[in-house]
Amino acid sequence: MPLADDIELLRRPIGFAVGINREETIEVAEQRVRLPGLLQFVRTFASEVLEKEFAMTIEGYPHAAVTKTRQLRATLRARGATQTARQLLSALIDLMETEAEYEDASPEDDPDEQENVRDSILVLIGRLLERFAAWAKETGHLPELASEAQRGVEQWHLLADRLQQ
Amino acid sequence: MSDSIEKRHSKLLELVSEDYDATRAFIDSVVRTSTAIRSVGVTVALAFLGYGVAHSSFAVAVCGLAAILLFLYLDAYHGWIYDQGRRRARKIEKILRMRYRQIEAGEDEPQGTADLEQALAAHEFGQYLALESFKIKALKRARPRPVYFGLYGSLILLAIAAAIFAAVT
Repeated sequence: MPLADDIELLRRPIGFAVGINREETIEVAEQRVRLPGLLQFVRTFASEVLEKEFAMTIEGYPHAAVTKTRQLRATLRARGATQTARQLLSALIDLMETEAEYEDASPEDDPDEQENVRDSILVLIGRLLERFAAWAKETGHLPELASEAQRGVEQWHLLADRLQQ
Repeated sequence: MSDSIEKRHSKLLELVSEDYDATRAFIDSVVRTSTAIRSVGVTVALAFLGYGVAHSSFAVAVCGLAAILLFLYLDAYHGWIYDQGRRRARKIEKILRMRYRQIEAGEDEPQGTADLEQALAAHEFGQYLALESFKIKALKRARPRPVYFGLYGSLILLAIAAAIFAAVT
């Protein structure tokens, strides 16, 4: 069964970005600390998209999932699947790897590493929304999601500018 | 990707690989030193505690505890240095992973070259130049923690038990 064209799938990151962008002033450090919470969204998103659109069930997130997703990308490449699909998988792979790194680095362990993880999340979720928008548009059966993802990209760019100041 | 960027990246990655080798050698030598400190520390502490118990000497048992704390400090100092090497090795591996990703993913990751460029630009070359200056509170970053809790925790408990035994008998 293909993915339902329901914008609820993207509610979390877009809601996060819209909420912060509405505020005139924000405490940047406080908001950045919330970014790793979005990795939970990535987990749900990846599981939905991979299962319904690529017929791949993921278990053992993130370590086993990242291996399977890499293999899937290689398979799609060999089959000559579209580049937008493979680029979407690349964004998911990067986010899965980021989650694995985040699990390995607790704040008391290494604050620098934590900061790097937050920077990565900020960049990679924007990238995921961009690639999902392109892929969803290409599929033809996800018009609502494609346009919502495009709105998300704009909101996310605004958010990234504010949080990287 | 243009040839000049590729050549530049290749040259920089050669230097990063050299840095990685230096970091690995650094970690190896710190681990060897830590192991030696631990071996000597356990031998000295057990000698003190054994003597303290055999001769019911509270003073010798307390010396055993002091020796354990001294070796814990020395070990933790090296554990802190090891942690710096470990974190540096992780950072370098991330750069090498980006190179791997750039080559493996190819056009499936259009940002691969840009990400690698950023990582190379941010890299601080030189294992020894990157070492931080020592502060006592940095000891909490000493690794590997299970060794400190397991080994020195047991030795400290043993020393306390030996001191109590010596005092009572």
